[in-house]
Amino acid sequence: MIEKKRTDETNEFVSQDVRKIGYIVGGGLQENLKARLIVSASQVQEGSFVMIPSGNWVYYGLVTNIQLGATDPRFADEESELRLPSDLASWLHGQTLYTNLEILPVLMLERGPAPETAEYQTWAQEIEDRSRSEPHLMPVKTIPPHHADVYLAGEGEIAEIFGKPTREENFVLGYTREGEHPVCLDLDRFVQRSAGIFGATGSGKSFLTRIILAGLIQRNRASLLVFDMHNEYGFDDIASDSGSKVSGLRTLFQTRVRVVGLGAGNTIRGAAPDFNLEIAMKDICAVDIELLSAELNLKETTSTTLEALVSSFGVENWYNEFREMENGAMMETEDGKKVPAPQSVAAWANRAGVNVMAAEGLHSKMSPLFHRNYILENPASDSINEIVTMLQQGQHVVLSFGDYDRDLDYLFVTNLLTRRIREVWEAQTNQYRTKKSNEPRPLVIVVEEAHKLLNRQMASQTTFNTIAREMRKYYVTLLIVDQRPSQIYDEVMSQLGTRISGWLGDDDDIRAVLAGLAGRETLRGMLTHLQPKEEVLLLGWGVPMPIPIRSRRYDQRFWEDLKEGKAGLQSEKQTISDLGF
Amino acid sequence: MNQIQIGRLLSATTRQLVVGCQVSQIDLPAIGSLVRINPQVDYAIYGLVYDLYIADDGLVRQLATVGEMDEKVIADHRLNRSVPIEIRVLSVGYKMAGQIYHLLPPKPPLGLEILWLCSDEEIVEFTNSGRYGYLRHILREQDVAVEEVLAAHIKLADNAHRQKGEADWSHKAVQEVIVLLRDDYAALTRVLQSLADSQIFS
Amino acid sequence: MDYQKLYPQIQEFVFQTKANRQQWQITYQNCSDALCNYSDKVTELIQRIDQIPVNQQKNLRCALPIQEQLDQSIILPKLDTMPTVLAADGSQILPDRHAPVYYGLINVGGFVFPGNPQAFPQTVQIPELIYGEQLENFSEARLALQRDIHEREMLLNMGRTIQMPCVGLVDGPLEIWIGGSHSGGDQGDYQRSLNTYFHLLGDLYQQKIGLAGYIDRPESNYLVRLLEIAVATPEELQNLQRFHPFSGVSDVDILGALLKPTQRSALFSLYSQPNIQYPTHSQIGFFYINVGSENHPWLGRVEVPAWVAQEEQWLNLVHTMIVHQCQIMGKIAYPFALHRAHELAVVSNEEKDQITRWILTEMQRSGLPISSYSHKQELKNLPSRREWKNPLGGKM
Ligand SMILES: Nc1ncnc2c1ncn2[C@@H]1O[C@H](COP(=O)(O)OP(=O)(O)O)[C@@H](O)[C@H]1O
Ligand SMILES: [Mg+2]
Repeated sequence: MIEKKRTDETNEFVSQDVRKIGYIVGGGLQENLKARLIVSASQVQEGSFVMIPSGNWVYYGLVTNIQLGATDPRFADEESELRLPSDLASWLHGQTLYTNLEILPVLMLERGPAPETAEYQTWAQEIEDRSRSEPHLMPVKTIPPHHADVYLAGEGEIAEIFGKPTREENFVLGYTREGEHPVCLDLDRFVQRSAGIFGATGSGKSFLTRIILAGLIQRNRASLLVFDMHNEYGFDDIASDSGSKVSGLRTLFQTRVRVVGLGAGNTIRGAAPDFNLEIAMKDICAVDIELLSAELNLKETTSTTLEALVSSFGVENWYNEFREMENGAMMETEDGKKVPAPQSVAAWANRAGVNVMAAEGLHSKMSPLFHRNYILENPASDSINEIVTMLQQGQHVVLSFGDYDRDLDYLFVTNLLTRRIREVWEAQTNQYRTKKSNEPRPLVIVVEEAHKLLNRQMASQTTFNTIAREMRKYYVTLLIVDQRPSQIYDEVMSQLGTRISGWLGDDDDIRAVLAGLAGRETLRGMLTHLQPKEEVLLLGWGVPMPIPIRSRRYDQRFWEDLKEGKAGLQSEKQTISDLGF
Repeated sequence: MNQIQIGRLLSATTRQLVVGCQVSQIDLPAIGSLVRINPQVDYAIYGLVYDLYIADDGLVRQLATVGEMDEKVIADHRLNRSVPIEIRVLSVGYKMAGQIYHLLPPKPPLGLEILWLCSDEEIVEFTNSGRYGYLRHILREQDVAVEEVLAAHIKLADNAHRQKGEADWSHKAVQEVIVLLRDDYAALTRVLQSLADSQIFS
Repeated sequence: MDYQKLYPQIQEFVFQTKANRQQWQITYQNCSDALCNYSDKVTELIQRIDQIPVNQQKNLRCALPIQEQLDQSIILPKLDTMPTVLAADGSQILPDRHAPVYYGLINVGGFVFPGNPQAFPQTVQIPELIYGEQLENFSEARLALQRDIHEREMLLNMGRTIQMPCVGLVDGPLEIWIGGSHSGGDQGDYQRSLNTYFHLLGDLYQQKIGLAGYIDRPESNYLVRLLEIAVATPEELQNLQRFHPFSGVSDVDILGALLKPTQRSALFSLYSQPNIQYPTHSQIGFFYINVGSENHPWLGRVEVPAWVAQEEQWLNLVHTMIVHQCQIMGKIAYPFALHRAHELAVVSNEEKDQITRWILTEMQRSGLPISSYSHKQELKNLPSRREWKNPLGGKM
């Protein structure tokens, strides 16, 4: 049903394809607006994006609930179609049974008085003269009156709010629920602050991350460092559920993306990485070990021991020295007594005046690290530095952990690397601020399984916390990908600008994702009703208003569109018809 | 216009008219028929027949007590006995200076005015003017078999409208009835049931 | 009404009635005994009436036995065909000097109840407005007489076209009412009316139309009077007008116990001075008939003219017809056709007012001055409080 416009609606805010779906019957800012639906309920869904032009304003909102009602419950109880001729029954139902929409009003935009009126001329002139500010979207502060018409927003309105797909910074992330109109993400805005992608396992986080990463690489405003714990992003993969091939970023963007494998001789998904990350022992700091306290079950004495080690052997050598010690090695004295051998941990401990037991304990607990072959005394190259340079130069790095899929490796390596990055970007920013060098290249660090690094215990110690909270100023932001947002430190969560969430079942997780947002109760319902693998909810500072979308498909067509520079304007429906279904 | 005279007014209030007639049953107006009284040249009162009352008759009662009734007695009663019939009419509107109003007439007619049966043209004219306002006069009545009168009226009027090629009049009328009664479940159910029984609708 | 003052009088009334009843029982018993004793003395009784002195005959009205025993009961004959019943009844509006117009009206209703099983009943109504000259020397009796004549005329008219045996039926005695003729009035005029009536009777006789008058709940004591004559001593016969040993007992009282449902009594001739003046073929006879049910006798008197009384076939037709007509009405036994004729004839008060208004309207239309109701009448016309009814009935 294409509603012909009221004369005062012939204005830019109402496009031709809007459909009137109802009219306001009640509600308010607090408890959402209520609208009487005048079309079949099947034409509207939870999360449908609606607009309510009224007076000088257009209101935008989301359908948050669809409810069946009856003027008298008995009309609903009675299966009158069985007792009455079908005509009568349907007329009765038309008048006594109805569907109400609940609409979360989110934004409003001034559209001015009706065009072609004198008032409009004045209004437009004032804007021209800059005596009046240009109309801009703002959070709702008032509500439309009774009986204001409610329209299902058309493509134009979606573009008005979420940006036109034709603009470079806008990246089509998906389509409105009805699968009709593209919804964009402003990538420039997206990388300005840390962001999060959430959803239960299998809800489509990794696929959506791929899509966004592809967009970011294409857009080329920021470098990406992906901590690819499960080796998903670099090379081609096989989708675990469908079994179909999933292209990797490296495949599409070739040399613009470097895949780094942890340790020498590792293959990632059967392919050789572009180079290997080997960590020089001298690069390992005491804090890198302390960070692993939980993982290695370290004692409280650890920091004392580590301090002694550093002071005994120096910052660069302590690790190697400690590793070389033999734990429990004994020797016999001339009088036949058994004493710790000089190369033993105990001997050092005695020398350094630290508790032998503590030192021996630490040594044995660190032994998994000592056996990691990506930690070398003298690596062939300073691969950490190489990575940093690549990122600075605008390349994108996918760090694949290969077979090192233990949390230990993930924590150790990501931290070490991030710490370095932080130092570098901080320094460069400071230089830039004093006009001594170029502006730093923005960097996005993508962290899968983020809760491992950003949980309450770890957060205080890791660099990620700092990055999430402060590094925006230093051109570094995080994109955290996680299935347990509730386990991520609230301080970090609250820093996230854009939040994208797939289906979540756990109440704590839902609460975490929605923390700090208006209309939480309403959004909560939407989150639990998302279709896994298909739909996500866009939230937070990075988007003008929350909206559930049908996520773009990460498939052959996506790649082709991306290659051809098409913005993904075609809707899913069109795609299907193009394919000849 | 081919006018059919039904009877003469016996008594009236603004809301109801009582008309006496001695016609045989064939000429009787059906329940739900639209009727008219013209107290003045430029003033017509419209009404809907809602009840036909056959005056109490002792003889019929007495005869009815007799077990076996002579055929002739029955025939006599039906053919010859001019038992007076009272027609009860609800005022539903009036016409003044050519304009139809779905309001109660400003003044009731005087005794012995003639009651006329409205033609199809008049039914269409009356029911098409305004927005079904006259229905509320029917729905308001307490002592009237509202649903029966309404169903009968809609059937008759629908027929008139169909003659004029207007097929969806009844649809709109029923919609209006539903709107008026949707807060009264019991009443609406009865009305719809009657409409269903009237078999106008599929 | 002051009921306090009325109550003791009611008590007294009931007390007296009770006392009289005991006396009546005795009289009744005597009368019944007389019936028993004289039932078969028909010839003796006829002779005895002849012995009544002329001066005592003048106002005498009694049964004159014909041949059947006095206490005979005759069962319902079985007939193959039913006669067509013609019933006529009239009603009149008396001129009212308090009304705005001075007029009278006779309305006669006729009802045909066909004997032919296939035919349907028919009705006739003939109203006649009485005004102007006709109202000179007006008396109620004259109007009634005129009405009776109209009734018989109607029977004649209805009967003319009917092939089957048919019987005309009227309500009340066949002997025309002459009450008014003595109290002034035009004797010649009365005689003319009587002649007209005799002619009508003659016509009916010639047209072979039966005739019967039905008297419901008769109070007559013709048979009782005959028994009084029977028991009278010769001296008492000399002063017969004062001799009433069975006073208070009516014919119905003594016959009620004898007649079974549908049975009729013996046929008698009516001994009265007027009857003697009637043409021979039309002299009036009568019998009683029980139209009630077992244990609930209900007696009517049926008067017939001689041409019916003398033919057994006619008599049987009348007997059967009356029983059948009464049966139609169930418990309220009364000839159906007569009731219908009555219904057709009755002029209600509303109708009367309407006619008055109608006449007034027409007078007004032709420019005549019109008067109104007398004040007396107008006050009467005001509805009394109790009578007032909501014009629409029911609550509004
Ligand atoms: N945007 C998408 N395009 C194509 N398939 C998808 C998309 N999102 C999810 N899927 C399907 O859902 C499955 C699970 O998605 P995945 O991203 O691996 O979930 P998660 O990372 O949340 O555990 C994938 O294997 C894929 O088949
Ligand atoms: Mg995943």
